[in-house]
Amino acid sequence: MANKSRLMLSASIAGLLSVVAIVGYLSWPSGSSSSSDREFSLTVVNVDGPPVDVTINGEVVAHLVCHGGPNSAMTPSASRPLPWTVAVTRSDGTVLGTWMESGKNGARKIDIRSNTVYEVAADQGGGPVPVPCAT
Amino acid sequence: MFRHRFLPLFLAWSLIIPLGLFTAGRVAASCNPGRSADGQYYWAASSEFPSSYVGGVSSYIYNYNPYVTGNGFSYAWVMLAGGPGANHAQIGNYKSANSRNVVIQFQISGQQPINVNFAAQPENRYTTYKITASSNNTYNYYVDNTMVYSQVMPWTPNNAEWAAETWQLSSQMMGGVSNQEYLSYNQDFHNASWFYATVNPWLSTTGSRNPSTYFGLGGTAYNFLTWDKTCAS
Repeated sequence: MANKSRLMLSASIAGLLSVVAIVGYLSWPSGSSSSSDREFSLTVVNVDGPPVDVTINGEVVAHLVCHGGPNSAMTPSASRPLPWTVAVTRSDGTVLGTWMESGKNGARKIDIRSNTVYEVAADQGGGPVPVPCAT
Repeated sequence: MFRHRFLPLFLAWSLIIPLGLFTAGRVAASCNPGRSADGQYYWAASSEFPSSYVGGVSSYIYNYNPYVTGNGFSYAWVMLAGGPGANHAQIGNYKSANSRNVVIQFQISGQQPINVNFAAQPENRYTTYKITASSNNTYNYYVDNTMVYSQVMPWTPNNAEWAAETWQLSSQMMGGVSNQEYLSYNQDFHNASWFYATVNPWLSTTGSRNPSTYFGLGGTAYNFLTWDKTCAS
């Protein structure tokens, strides 16, 4: 009888520990770092804007049209060290926006929406679904 | 004595642990699609302009937990938008590489978009996400009919949107082949009543690749579903 009680107690403890282990496994955070912890990079996305040039420290580094090809994230290099002055410019020379990138805020993204532009953390939502490309 | 006391414990663990891990794997329901980051957005979305003033938007959204890597995200949401530029108010189930949350994003055109995070709703369950806008442009955000945030913005909504969105092909779109992402009972409020959405959904992207290569889409405006073709569940 005592042995049976010990068996039941052991099984109950095992069951309880298993529940704790499963709940812990399911609720454990993924462990990856936040955006601000990651290395700096900059991606410019022409969502539904006009054709633009992107310059870094005065040098044209990309020409972007909406529905264009893959965008590569730009990163600092020996030939292009931080800080960066980034500008997005229409083909007629109109400057849509400029930003100073110190590299201290993790991965960043510039979205071009119609004739407005804004710079945000790279993992921030893209806003409304695209409308036809601006000219 | 030692063997007699601990044998049942060992047996219980040997049976329960594999069962628990198997169950956890099924619930996690995410997979690495094995694609490279491409710096583009992808949407499975419906959008309509039913009136000059749209006072609300709602959807019963499945809280999927997709695989997200790097600086990507996946987001299933409802939105009121309006006026020129990027004016919008948005709420839904959001997953970054770091965490899954209920995220409100709002923006006044010409200013930065702002995110407000709340605790995630239970995974693999449905939640009603809703936004209402009053005549003085007060925007109220609801999670299962509980208001979680309120604000005033200087623009008037004339557009309702429902979407699942992914940034970077290296991350998974909401949903898998056999565990799809549903946006159901999609409604918007105009002319003093709630109406079901009428514009059928479509896949779109900011890039040049065909999104149907990667993502599935089904259903109608009222109840549509999407999934990442690479991922089983």
